[in-house]
Amino acid sequence: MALKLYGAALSPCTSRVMTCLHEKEADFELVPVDLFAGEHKQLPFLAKNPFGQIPALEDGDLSLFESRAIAAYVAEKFKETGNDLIRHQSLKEAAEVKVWMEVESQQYHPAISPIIFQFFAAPLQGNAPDQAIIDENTEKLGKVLDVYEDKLGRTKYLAGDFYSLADLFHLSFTYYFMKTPCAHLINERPHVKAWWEDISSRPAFQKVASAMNFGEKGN
Amino acid sequence: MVVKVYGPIKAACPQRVLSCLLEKDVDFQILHIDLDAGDHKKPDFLLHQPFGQVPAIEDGDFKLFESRAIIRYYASKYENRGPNLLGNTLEERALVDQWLEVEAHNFNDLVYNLVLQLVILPRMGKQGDSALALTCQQKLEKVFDIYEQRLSASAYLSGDSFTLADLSHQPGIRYLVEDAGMGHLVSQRKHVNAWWDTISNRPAWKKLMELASC
Repeated sequence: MALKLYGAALSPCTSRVMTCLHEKEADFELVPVDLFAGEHKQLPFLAKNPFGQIPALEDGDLSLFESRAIAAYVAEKFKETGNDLIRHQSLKEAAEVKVWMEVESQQYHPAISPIIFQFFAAPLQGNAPDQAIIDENTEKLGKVLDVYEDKLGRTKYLAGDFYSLADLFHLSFTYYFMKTPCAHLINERPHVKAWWEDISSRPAFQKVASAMNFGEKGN
Repeated sequence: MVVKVYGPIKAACPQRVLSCLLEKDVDFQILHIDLDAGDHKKPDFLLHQPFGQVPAIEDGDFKLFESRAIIRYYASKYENRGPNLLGNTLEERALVDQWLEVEAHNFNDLVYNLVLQLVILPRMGKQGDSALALTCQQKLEKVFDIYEQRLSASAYLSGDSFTLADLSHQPGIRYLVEDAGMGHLVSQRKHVNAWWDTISNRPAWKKLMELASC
């Protein structure tokens, strides 16, 4: 039975999960949730995620939400097929992956997410991007990226010399970020830039990126 | 070998790690970091944690940071010792992960900001932003309503046993109840109240509270 992923193709959190599914060559069906109609804030969707956020996953009887937990589940369930994202053969490598998954969650995401919101979501609510919020968060993100620049000068990917779920978690929000005037934060750091070009050119992500067209005409 | 834990014993994120180490009966040594003196931003400490935050651990040659990654590592390393904090099946583990993510993304920021405004800033002689505190409190009410609903269906967040998902909440809820005057968020919700009562009376947590009160 195929997995059912409830979400939207242009949503970065849904894309996070879909990229993982493609890396693992797992069959799934994307069931669209109409964000603009507020479908995610009503029943029946609320039964899948009481916090009213996409995505949610159904795998037979199992119902999950939170994109990072869903991706970790997929990476674990299909650990014997596709690309190794979690280094399950080595407890220490697996732990390093978890460190940098947490870094994405606790350091990177809180700085990059408000920038994406200001450029892509605020205009839909009839507001111009708030420059103060953008400036505050580009400063924070710059400091985080300085740490990344140093780490990626020592290892090819975040958790080591191997691509992992930690790198994958950064893809979808960064993809939108690169479409903003703030993209120079990535481009002016050579190791970060090389890492970004590498991970964003992976076929699994390319499949997902083509539908990530939030903010473009008609969307 | 003793695990070195860098951080103050009274801070929330080190407590998350220490609670887990105590549950798993892992020997540790706390190397105090004085946050008020800015020790965590000094070059020595940045070698342990490049983002300048506590905690960080050293286990022989192996180093880790990010409290939620550390607890996942130890829960895995000592899977067969003490309580099973991860879940048994792949599905159970996924539910533990789900509620750990909820703690990280739907709960933590609200608690952190609330405690910062009501407790930490005043302690430092600064003015807290009471409008922000109120907004956080109102959002937390909604989050706790969801927890109440969840905990009416199972004794713990991810199912019928205590796991990392519950453990991860211990330090933040303690701050809310004991320091920030927000105990009503818990006590006014029957199932949340029973859950907090149970998880805050675990021997490992009580031991930590004892150590932190010296």
